[in-house]
Amino acid sequence: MGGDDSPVRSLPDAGDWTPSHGSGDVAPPPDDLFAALSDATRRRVTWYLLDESSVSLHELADVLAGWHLDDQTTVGPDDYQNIVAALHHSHLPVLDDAGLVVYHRDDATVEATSLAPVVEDTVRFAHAYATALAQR
Amino acid sequence: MSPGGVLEAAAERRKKLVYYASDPGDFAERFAARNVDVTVRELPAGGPDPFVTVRDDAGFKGAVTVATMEGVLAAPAAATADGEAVAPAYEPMLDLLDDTLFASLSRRQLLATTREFEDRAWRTGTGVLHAGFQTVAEFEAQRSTYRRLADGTSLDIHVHVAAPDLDVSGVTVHRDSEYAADYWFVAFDGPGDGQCALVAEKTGEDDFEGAWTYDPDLVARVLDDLTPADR
Repeated sequence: MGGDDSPVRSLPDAGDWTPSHGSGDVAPPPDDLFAALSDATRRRVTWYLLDESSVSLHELADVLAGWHLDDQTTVGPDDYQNIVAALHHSHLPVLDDAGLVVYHRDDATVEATSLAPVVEDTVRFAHAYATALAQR
Repeated sequence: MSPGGVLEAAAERRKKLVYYASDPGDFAERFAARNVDVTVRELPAGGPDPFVTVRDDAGFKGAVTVATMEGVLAAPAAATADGEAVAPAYEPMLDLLDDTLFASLSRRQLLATTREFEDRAWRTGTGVLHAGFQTVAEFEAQRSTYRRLADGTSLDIHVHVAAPDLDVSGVTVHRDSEYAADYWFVAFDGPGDGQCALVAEKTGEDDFEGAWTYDPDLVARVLDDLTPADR
């Protein structure tokens, strides 16, 4: 692939961003950022949170269940519990450690953080790339 | 309490449905007639295809795409106009939403569903059929249907009427029925899984709230209530 076949034409430009802008400056170390984005569930979560300030764990699990419907006709209670458990025990702690979200375990809510523009672009790119590739 | 507690059971089993889509459109309105409370959540473009999640008091019941659910959205009367008892497309969502359906209905829709249940009894030919009529005039409008049912089948037919006088040959008539005074109902218990019941309550001049069910236990409760203990 590449050239005109590239599924994603708009690439993030790190030159647009310089550190220490104050607000909107969450910029994890590259290893943390790309480790966070190395998983489909975490790409979806970070992408979904770009348009949300705060969501409940269950809303997040609902949206992920919606994506699962690409591959299965129904998502049942057991599937759903697996989604919730994976978020709670694995994905949200990883994203929280990277600074990409704040996971409030006490009230089961997930708060978006103010990502640096280049990080936001990277999250959009990762999602667009995965989506485009899945549709090829 | 309605016959068999069907209306009360429908209220108790009411589900919460969340509709996720980038363009909500009129989905919620189309679904408002079902036994569910609908909430709409807008998805960003590029997210999953439109889908719904369903919860009851015990929590998450399931998720399906709107495409899967489309077949369920047609009114039951319309879906069964071709004589099918239940359209196949109903099945997945009946599992999810429970087999008790609850809807606000016009008299015309109520009649159509009633006709469907009577037709089901006719095609089955055996079993027990109960139907309630508020007035003699309402029964007279259906007398030919019930004569045909009495003559052409071996059904055990019971007509309940909220009036002191009515005679129908081949049919057991329950006069001065309190259930018939307060509710519109039809219930059929056939062989196998042929049970169905509709119970509705008038809420306005032409408006009813009705619940219908294919749940054998619930239908049995309706028949139990409609069958006087001393007979």
